[in-house]
Amino acid sequence: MASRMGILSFALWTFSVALQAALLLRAKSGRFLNKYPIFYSYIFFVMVTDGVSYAIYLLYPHYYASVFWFCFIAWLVAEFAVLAEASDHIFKPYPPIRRLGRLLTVCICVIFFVVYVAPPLLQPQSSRAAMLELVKRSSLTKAVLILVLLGAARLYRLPLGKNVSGLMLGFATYLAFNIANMALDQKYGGAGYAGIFAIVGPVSFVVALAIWNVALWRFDPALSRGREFERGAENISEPLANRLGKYDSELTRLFRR
Amino acid sequence: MTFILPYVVIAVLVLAIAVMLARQDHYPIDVETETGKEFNRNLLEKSCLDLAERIFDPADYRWLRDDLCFPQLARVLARHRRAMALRWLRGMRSSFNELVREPLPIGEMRGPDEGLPGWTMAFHTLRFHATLSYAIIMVWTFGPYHGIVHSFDWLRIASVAEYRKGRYGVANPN
Repeated sequence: MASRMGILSFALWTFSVALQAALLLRAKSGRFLNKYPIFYSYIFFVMVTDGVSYAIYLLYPHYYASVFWFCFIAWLVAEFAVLAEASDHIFKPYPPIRRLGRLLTVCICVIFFVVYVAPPLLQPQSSRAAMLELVKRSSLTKAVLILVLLGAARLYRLPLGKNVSGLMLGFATYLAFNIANMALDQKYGGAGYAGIFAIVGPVSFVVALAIWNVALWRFDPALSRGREFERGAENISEPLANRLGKYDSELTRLFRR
Repeated sequence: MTFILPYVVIAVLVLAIAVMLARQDHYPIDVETETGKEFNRNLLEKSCLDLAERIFDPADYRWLRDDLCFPQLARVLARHRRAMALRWLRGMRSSFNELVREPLPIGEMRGPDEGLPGWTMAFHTLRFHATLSYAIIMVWTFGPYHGIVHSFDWLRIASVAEYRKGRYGVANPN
């Protein structure tokens, strides 16, 4: 049983590295590595740390758990940066909401960290339990962030483009698996779930990598809508900030009567 | 079991909502009629603003109820006015969103580090949506004549202070 799990783990690791390499090579040959620099740096970082931690697993198995969790925390932080980059791609062509993605990212991260992520970490518990709690809660924070960003894009009817929608969807899949996996391990970790836990995590990342490979096979940016552009060009003489301010002032004036 | 169930449900919901939101083929981009679009476009013109003033003005309602003593008719009017007020507020949101969707001309594209104005505009956009959503909830719940004026009192205080600050250089000139 243990050897079968080992083979499955190795197969997943190999497949994962192959998908990561394919993602990077495809972006390099398509010359769009620099369009998503943080995302591709993240993939490169995951590939390198995966290789290093696997080598440690083979050579120094006692240190593997510490190295794995250290790398995992670094990935967790890097994922926030990737989501901020994706949000920039959604909102950047639209000046009034150019910074909206970053603003939402910062607000959600700060609020969730203060209210949801930090409090349980301050309670006395084992380091493994604390780590699982941190991963579960930060995954949920990122999942909420993805939903809010996609919701904002839907509210303004902004086109996402295949790249960004695939990137978000890949992350959502990976994070959804993570949330459920961490919760199940916290509950049944000592009762035979450890083997499944070790498989579900890599499987979720392989699924996410497969989605990213499909979505990022070609550079397909979120193009802004031409019709609004034409209409905007007519009124371009009046600063956009003034026109936006008019809405704000008229709304407050109406309710101040 | 009760501990893990919410997280599994949340995970499934996250995935389902993300798939639904990331799909672009069902975007209701062109569902608005031309009349609706025209209405939204001219929302800040004087005639439309006068209409809005009329919708939110309780004078007709009071005249029907108190002077002519037709309380039932007054209630029907209030119901219709509520529907009109909600339509006007939603039109305001659509019109604002259309303005927000206007991208910069290619020649005017600036670098990613635009500085404070970008942040300020994003903040104003969020504030506008928060105010509008609040107004929609108030109108939907209590009608166009109830509560909004009182609930927006804090805005009056804030804007008077801002006006004084802008005019005299201090928040309180006294």
